[in-house]
Amino acid sequence: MIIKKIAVGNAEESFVEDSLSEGFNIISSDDNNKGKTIIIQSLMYALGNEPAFPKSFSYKKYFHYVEFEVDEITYYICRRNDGFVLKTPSALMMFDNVSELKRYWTKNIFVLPEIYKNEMLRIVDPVLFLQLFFIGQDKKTTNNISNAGYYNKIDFINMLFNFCGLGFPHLSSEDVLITKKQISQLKEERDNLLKQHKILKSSKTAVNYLSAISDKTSFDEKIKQLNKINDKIADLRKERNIAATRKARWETTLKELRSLNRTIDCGELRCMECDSTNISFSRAKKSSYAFDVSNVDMRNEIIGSINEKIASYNEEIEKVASLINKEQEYLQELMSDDNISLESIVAYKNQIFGSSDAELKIKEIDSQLEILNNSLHSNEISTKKEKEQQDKLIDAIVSLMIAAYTTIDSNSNSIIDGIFTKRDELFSGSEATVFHLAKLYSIQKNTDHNFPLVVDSFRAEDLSTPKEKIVLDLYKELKNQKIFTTTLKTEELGKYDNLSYINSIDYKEHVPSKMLNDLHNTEFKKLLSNILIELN
Amino acid sequence: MSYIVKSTERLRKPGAEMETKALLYLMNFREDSDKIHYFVVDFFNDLTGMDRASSKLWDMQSKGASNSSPNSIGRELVTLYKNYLSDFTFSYLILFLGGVSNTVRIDNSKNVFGIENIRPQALIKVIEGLKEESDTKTYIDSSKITTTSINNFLKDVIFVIDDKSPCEYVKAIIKDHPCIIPEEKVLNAIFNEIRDEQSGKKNSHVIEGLVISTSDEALNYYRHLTNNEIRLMTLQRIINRDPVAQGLPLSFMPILNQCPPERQKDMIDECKGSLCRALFNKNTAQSFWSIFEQIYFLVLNNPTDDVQHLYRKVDSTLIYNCPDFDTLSVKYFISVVKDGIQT
Repeated sequence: MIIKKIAVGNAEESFVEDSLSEGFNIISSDDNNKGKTIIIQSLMYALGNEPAFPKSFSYKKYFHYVEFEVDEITYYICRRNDGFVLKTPSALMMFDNVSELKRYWTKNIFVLPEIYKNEMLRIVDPVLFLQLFFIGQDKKTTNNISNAGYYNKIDFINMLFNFCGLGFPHLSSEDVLITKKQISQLKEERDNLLKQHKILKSSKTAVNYLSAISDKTSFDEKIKQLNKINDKIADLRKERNIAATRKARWETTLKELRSLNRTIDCGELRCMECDSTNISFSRAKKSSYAFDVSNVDMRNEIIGSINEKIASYNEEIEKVASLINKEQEYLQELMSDDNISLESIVAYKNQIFGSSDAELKIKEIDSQLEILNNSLHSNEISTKKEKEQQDKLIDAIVSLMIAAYTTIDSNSNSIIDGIFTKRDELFSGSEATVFHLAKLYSIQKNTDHNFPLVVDSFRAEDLSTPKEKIVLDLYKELKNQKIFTTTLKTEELGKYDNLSYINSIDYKEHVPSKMLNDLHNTEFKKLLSNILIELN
Repeated sequence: MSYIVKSTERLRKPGAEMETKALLYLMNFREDSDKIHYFVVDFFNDLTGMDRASSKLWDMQSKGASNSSPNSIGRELVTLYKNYLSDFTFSYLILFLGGVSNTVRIDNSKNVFGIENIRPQALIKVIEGLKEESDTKTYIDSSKITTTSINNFLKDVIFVIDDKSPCEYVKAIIKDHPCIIPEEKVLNAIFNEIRDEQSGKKNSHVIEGLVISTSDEALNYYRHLTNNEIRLMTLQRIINRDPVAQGLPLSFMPILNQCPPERQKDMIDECKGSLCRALFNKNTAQSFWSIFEQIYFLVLNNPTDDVQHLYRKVDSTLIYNCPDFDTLSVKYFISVVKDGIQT
């Protein structure tokens, strides 16, 4: 996969990056806020990533456009908010969410990995998949994936396995027993808590009471925030309803189609007097024939696609539902930290703390249950041999990571013992940068993928010049396209110009915080009109 | 003048496949292919081509075996010979063969030839075979079997050897639209459909013993397919392959762009849904074909018209007859056809 062009903008202002080469690209500038991160984030956003733009950049106002090549076929993709337009050599596709995009992608561009999540096999979203070859500037942690939310590091590892054709993770038989026991315990606990939790649902809700007696001004402030969240929830619900309606429509279509695929026979003629069926009648038209309008293959194919569509709406609904839950959680949080008078604490202490505690706990138990169920479920499908191979893969990745890490930073005494660090052993500063660079390198080496390696701010947290040199040398050997960005100090300006293997792209001339301008508008409009988006 | 229908037959798969190949050969691979309008199945012979006015006849017998000996070739000629001797005039007499043994041809590279390309020894065997077979058949008046008539007959016969796979025959139907050639699987499926329709004809009525006095009467028994029907069916199968999964036809964009953005998705879904219903509805097949035919020719004859203009030219009664379609979905359908055959 090669990225050929990145563009971002709207009718008023735009920017087009078309100087990318198939080799080693470094985008640099002498100052911050020159647009490096925006370009990289636009690229990722257009490919379906969650937005992680700088706060000052209102990405929703713009179209994000990427031209890329897979197996010598050029694709054009453009995203604005949740809408995508994808142009392939033969068709123009429109998607209004990421799930539709990824389903089309996996069928027609290249196969995306699949993992078990919530006991269902699903295609991974770009937000997880892109992390195979992308390191962003922000949200870097070493103990989990970045943008952890719906997905977590277990999912990342499962994705790696699936990507390498190694199936899903495995549990030993004792593990299975223990897990099952844990599940039954958790379920029992959950039931108990639910009983307690009933208080929360009673009509004289403590929260209402507390709000009423809280301080007036802070209360108003709170109301505003609550409204905001409520609006958001309402929006999400709307989104969910739309998805549900569309899903329902395809479901009805499916039912209708099944009924249409039946030839309707007319009744026979009988003589009213003797009830004989032996009556001849002459037809007005001569007995004619016609080909069927469709054949079995065609009908099966159509039904298959409709089912696919329904599945993608289902997934979307589930995803929106989880977003709604998140917002509700937030709402609850807001409501619970109300200023509470001493009397009310005394009066409602047991009920309030008892019940809100219960809710939290139930949530926690639910998520634990989910993880346990997931692991049990996927375990059933895998075999022992696969597990060995999986362990081998992880070992190989980790050992190469260690090797790369020590090559870059020979004096470090940090210990790497997995693809992710433990929760309490965070790498920070330049150590984290090196950690991620080593990981990206090792994953490429071990999986031999051909995706572009994209690192935003590859010298973050002051990577020293000798270390940087080693990093460049390491990555130089990889055949993949590379897109790195960095900010240069004044004395470093032009340092990449003399390296023959580097395609140095200089953003020095850009006005800070104003990379988009009207210079590129004509070109940008042309790009978009190629995929039939007209700007006006 | 009269003609008695004799010796119709039912076939097994390889035979049926060969008959379909023979049909598609007539339809696409002859210089006079354009003139052949009707393909009458198992009436005069395995297959008989007829022009629009049913005045000119192409008579065809097919033989599936891939290695026919001269003698068996002669035996196969018997039905053609019968027709040659009948009161009707058959303009062309064609024997379509799966293959012949090495001893038959003089120039082995020629796949369409007359008796001049048959070795003298082989020709003697051919004549022997034909004579033997003619003598056993009751439907040939034995007094008419003479050496002169056989010799004259053989001078008229064209031998054709099948040298193509089924999908190549289907490909030839859409040769005017080179951009839409689909994968082999699809072409084979289309071939099989034509084959099934063709063999279906054989089961329709019993016609053995019928007497007709002019060749056009053969069409009354509805044992024919037309050139156009086969062409349309093929195109339709390719163009409408899975409308749900395939993206948007580009020529629909101007219409879509006028729709408010939040409704666009629904509009597309509705159009696709209607098209699916139309494709599934077995009971309005005739109407579907009529509307498809009209749209197809409108697009061909008005290549520069946009979808709006084309829509205005569609006969509205055709739309009424197709309950699955409404205005927007017909426009969508026009776009699909337009993009399918033009790009």
